[in-house]
Amino acid sequence: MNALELHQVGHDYGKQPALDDVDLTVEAGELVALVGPSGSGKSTLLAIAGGLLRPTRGTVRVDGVDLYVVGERERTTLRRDRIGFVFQSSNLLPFLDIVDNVVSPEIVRGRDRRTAQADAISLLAELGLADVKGRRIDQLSGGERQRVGIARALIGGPSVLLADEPTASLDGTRGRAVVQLLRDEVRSRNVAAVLVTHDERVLDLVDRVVPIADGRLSATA
Amino acid sequence: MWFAVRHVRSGRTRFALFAALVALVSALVLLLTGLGLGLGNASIAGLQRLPANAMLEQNGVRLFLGRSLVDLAAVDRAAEITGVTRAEPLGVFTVSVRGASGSTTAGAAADDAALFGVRPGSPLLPAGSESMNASTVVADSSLHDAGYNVGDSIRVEPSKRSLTIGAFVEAGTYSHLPVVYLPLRTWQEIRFGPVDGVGDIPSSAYRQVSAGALQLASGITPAEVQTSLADDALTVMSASTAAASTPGYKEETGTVSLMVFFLYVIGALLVATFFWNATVQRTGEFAIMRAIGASRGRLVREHLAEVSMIAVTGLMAAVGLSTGIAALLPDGVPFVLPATTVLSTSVLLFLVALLGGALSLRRVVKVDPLLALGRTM
Repeated sequence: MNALELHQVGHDYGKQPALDDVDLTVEAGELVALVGPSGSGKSTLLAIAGGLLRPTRGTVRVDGVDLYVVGERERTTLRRDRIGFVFQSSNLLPFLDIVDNVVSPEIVRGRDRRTAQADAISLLAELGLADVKGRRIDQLSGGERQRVGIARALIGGPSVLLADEPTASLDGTRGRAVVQLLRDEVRSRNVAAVLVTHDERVLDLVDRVVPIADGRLSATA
Repeated sequence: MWFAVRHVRSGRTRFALFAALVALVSALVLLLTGLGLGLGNASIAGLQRLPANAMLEQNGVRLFLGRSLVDLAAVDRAAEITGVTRAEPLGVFTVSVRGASGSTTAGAAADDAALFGVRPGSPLLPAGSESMNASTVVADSSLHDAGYNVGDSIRVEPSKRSLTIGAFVEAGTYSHLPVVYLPLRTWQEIRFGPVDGVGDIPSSAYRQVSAGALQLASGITPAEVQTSLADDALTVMSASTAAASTPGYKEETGTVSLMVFFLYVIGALLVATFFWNATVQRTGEFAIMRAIGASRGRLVREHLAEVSMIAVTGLMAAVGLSTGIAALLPDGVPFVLPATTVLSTSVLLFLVALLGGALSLRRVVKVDPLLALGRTM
């Protein structure tokens, strides 16, 4: 089943088209890289897929639910329960420690704090971050922060994972390690993932590469 | 409030400093409120404790009891009006008293007092006034604090009349002066007698009092009694209006109230400014929270929880601080801060803080989760 489906999606900023006629489907367990130059529409596409930006045209379905037919409140709930985000530069909450950053989406979901904490510690260990309880995020390297970001995106068991240039601030080796980790987790957890990246060094690690230029996907998408 | 607790904890120094600021402003509000109440109390407590809900006074003296002159017959006439359950004559006269030579060490310098003249056995008398007679007075306990004792003789100026203190009672104060109760006749002799005490007292003196303290039946208004009296020279007003007309009362309480009002405004602006700045700085954090699925309602609750934590911490410190300062105030300082006032003032300050914090709510709920992607699209 396609966890993420974009059909005939288009978006204009004023009269300026940013995306046009985009059709994209991502299956559960598949990692798709969206590559293209700056201004090609990658981030707009990611925002639309994540329920953050209403498209001017077309439909977006996550697990078969049309994200933009439902109201704002329900879309927030869908985002909370079914979509995980990995942001550029990790975008962790600076006032929370490492474990609490991972726990935070679970708190938003209303899960029990102690159970969520135990799950977070276990997930972080799985991602190579052991003994992190009580540690602050400013004690981590860039690569480690991205792992925390990945843990935060995965903890709720999302259907769709959207990663926005997660390797942008990392060197080649660390960047590959992060994408490798992403791919492994996407497969083992059966998550449909879209990775927006400039970094051509990691493209061999993904299942499918979808080029985008001038707001249009290539025919192979 | 999971996020709020952790945010406050992570910035504990910043929040502690701000809570200290809230505490200082709140303590100032509490202290000024206590001072305002104390000043008001010192002005009118002697009148407020009277078992009367209306006053009959002379018209045209701006309700100033000390200037008012009412015929004793008018008070008796008021007592006959339907709906007036009691009308007691009251004489009010502020004088200087001095300890009579040899009787006391107090009063070497003159002390001021408010003489309240009442009929012997009058219900206006406070409890413990049984010793009052033509030459024996009962005085408010604050006169005792000034160094006078039971049995001391005091000479009232200007009449040079000597009186003995028979007891100290809870008579209250009037215009910041201890109230001294004495028989109406003695009061009339002091009020209308010759200044140096030598010479005759005019017979008309025994017909005059300052006011009538009226007890009106439920549902009867002072205006109705005034209409029934049908005397343009007299006016009837509620006891609270009469008390509020005490010279200096409105000025004192008004000044303090103005200061307290501005402190409430300052408090609200202080909280508003702090949280406005915090909200602007935290736009990115709110965007991330929204992106991971936090609803607007959740952000509002977390924001208000932070405001509440600061306000409650500051208020608790303020109550402790103001209570401590109040305990250190010298006896003579008019300061009254009952627990109910502390509670009501604290609740009001909390609401003001919440209002100040709520001013930045619009910014909080308008945060676009798209910012979490580091872009404004």
